[in-house]
Amino acid sequence: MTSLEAAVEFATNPEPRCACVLVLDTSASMGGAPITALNDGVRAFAADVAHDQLARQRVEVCVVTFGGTVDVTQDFVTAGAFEPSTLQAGGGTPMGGAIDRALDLVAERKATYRANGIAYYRPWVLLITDGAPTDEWQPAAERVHRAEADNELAFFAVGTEGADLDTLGRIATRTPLRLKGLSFVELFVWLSQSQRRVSASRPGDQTALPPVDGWAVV
Amino acid sequence: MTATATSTTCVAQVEVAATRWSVLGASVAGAGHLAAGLPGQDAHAWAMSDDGRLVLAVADGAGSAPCSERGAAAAVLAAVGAPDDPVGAARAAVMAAAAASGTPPSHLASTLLVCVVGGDEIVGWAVGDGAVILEGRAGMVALLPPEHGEYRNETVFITSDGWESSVRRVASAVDEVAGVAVMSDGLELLALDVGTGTPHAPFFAPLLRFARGAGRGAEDELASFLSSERVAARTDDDCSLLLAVRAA
Repeated sequence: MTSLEAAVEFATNPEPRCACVLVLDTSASMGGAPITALNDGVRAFAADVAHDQLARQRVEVCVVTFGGTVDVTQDFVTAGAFEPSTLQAGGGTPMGGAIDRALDLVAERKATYRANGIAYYRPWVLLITDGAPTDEWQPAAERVHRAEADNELAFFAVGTEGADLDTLGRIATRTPLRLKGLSFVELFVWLSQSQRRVSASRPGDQTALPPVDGWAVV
Repeated sequence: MTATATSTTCVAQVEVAATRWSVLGASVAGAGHLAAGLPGQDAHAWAMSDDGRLVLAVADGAGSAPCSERGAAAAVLAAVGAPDDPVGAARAAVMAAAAASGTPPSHLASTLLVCVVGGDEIVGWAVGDGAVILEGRAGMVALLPPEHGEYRNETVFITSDGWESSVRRVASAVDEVAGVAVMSDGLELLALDVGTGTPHAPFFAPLLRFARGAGRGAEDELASFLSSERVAARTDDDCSLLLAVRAA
């Protein structure tokens, strides 16, 4: 270490945060192989993002499930400390309620960042479903449209084989993608790679996302 | 127009209104850029104007804009030749470079920080993030703190629509100023209290002290510092630091 390296002291600043909300369908139809693959995927996400020195400190994960009820199974936690719990399947598909909850969580998190002088990136919300909503979803869809138009967040929707992509297309402004089989692990590694890029991104980055063809039907 | 000093020379010494100043600077590519096979997209330059003012400039090319390193280079070279309107000159140069190569201006997008040290006044100009820090009697002060949008990875570029209303210009009396540091935003988390935009004195003081005592190879040492593991652990962005210190 040169004498200059030894002499210069760095400021301590909180790391800028990259909020990532996973909105996951845990309805009855996800039972069996799908929920197992989904759990594997979430674990793969946690493992991958933890490898990135910046991302593990900057990415914050929140998990909202919808299977019968809407539950926040993981409140915001830094990615390096994220220990996914095993999700169980059961119940109907209150997707509208889950989206509402997710948008509320994003808004609250931003308010917390601002109150604490913490810089942040544009939050992501990733919705994964294998079916169609069994609750009222139109108001939530309008909220998503407004939020995207106001650049408040980036909302992505992914449907498995049996999912109603038409309805998803009315909720998300970005074209929903169909998952290839049960390639949740590939999807979640893609998510981690994307979040790693976002958390290191610089002004002017369009944050080119990695290709989706590993997990999406294109 | 003087080019930046090379590493084989002694630190550049200039005279502004009979006061001697030393100038040294370095721009290094961030680890993130190197990993992605991208060049560094920061640039810096300085020059003496015809009327004896010292003009310092740092530009930070937009992240994934394909040739923003060309935009940053064009911006600083034009800025140091136009002490009274460095931002206008930089923008014109970048737009001209874009037109000449048939490239969309957004591909050459960059921020710009300029500091003009004159006999009476020190003037700072900024479009976008990064900062201009002064060392004065009261300690370290931000002449121009960084400006970000709502999101950490957003800022304004000299090629942006509405750039003109984003130009910040601040002047200060020069006789109180002992040192100047112009830095790109790669160093923000290390050098500033980000919440308030105030400079972290234990970051700048040793650097300005180093500049005062700097001899041959000082710019190499500065570049090594910016490329060091200590810095890379906190930022993988390009980093630029341009220092000017009044001789004791």
